[in-house]
Amino acid sequence: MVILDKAKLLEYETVFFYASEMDTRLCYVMDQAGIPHIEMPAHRLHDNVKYADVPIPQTAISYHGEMSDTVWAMISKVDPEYLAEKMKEIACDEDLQKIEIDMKTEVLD
Amino acid sequence: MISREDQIYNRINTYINNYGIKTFIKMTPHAIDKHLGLSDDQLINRLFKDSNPTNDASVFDIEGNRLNRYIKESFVSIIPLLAKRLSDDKIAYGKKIKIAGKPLDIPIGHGFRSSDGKEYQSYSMAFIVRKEANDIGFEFVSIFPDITVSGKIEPTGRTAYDAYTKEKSPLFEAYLRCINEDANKENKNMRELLIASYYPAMISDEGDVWSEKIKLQMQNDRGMTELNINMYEGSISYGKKSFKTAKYDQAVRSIPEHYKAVFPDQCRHVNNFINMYRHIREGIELSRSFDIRTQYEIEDAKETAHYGFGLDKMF
Repeated sequence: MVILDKAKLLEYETVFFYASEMDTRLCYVMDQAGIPHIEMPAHRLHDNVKYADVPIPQTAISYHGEMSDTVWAMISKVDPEYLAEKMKEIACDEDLQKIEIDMKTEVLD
Repeated sequence: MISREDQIYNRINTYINNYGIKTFIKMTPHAIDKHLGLSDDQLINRLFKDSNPTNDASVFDIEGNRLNRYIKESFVSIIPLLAKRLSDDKIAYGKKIKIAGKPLDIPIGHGFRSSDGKEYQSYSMAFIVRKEANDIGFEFVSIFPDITVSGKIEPTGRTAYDAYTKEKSPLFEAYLRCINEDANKENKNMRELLIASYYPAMISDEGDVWSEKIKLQMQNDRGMTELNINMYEGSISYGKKSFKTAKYDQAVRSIPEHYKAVFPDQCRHVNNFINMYRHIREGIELSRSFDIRTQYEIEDAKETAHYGFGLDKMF
């Protein structure tokens, strides 16, 4: 299971871009580490004056390091470079895949 | 050797690429129709009538080609999870499986969540499929904007009762249902049960006139107590036998202390509920407790709806 190091937190909030396919896993890892975060579709970042000038990438990292064009943005105090390094681990972590399945699927009646 | 899961994955993928997502949906034309263009009335109706309200009290806000495009995008994102579930022998044929897709880049629909009575916009779709021994291993059952916890959601700031105006009985029933679900979820380890029921005004087959009534039942090891609030007469009674009656405002105060301790939030709901009811019916001023706490919750919801604000407060 990938664990985020809280010691890597910055003093200020930053933006990290990721493929929405990774949303469940990434948010789970953030929650486990107790790191507050806000996620949104990347284009909505510009709704906030504070982030109006932040360039938004066309693609972001998805499963097994592949790229996807559904880009989401996450605001937190985690160093984006550190998070980028961790993304491949998060994408391939089998425990996280299992958690994702359980969180997203449900067998009814 | 290629795994069974991969075989299923490839089969679904090939099917989608050859025939398109529309061929799936054609199998169940109602899947989309019943989630498009519903009014608030219909939505709330569904919230309290359907046995599985969370799944169904939602509606798509987009339609046509745009909706098709997003359905395809969302469906493609669930194929790996779907293949995994379909290849799982522990899940029998005929079972329904609900799968939530990845969050999309726009909110695609909205709905009320029964557990808290609030309305949310959803960025994710959920698909319900039935495992079947056919060419692709499943059949479509339904598609809807997923307002449950596993989907990406954003509060709109409305609640079930905001959506309703005067004299709309379903509102009250829906709201009481929320109270029930909350109470029983939060207190599942306790041997206590709160049942709130709403009885609209009606004339029975025998010609008896029944006035509008709210009944709150509390069960525990020692039996059951009942609190009846008669909206028409402006009276309440509690205990198995109606030995006491009081006015509305006394009703709230009279809710037994024990009840307050076990269901503090529900007690507040009941309080708000009665006040709101009287506000609509009789034009009374809303009480301070209604104003402060309920408004506060709604304000909270609005704040988180503006992404990018308020993170500092969380640290």
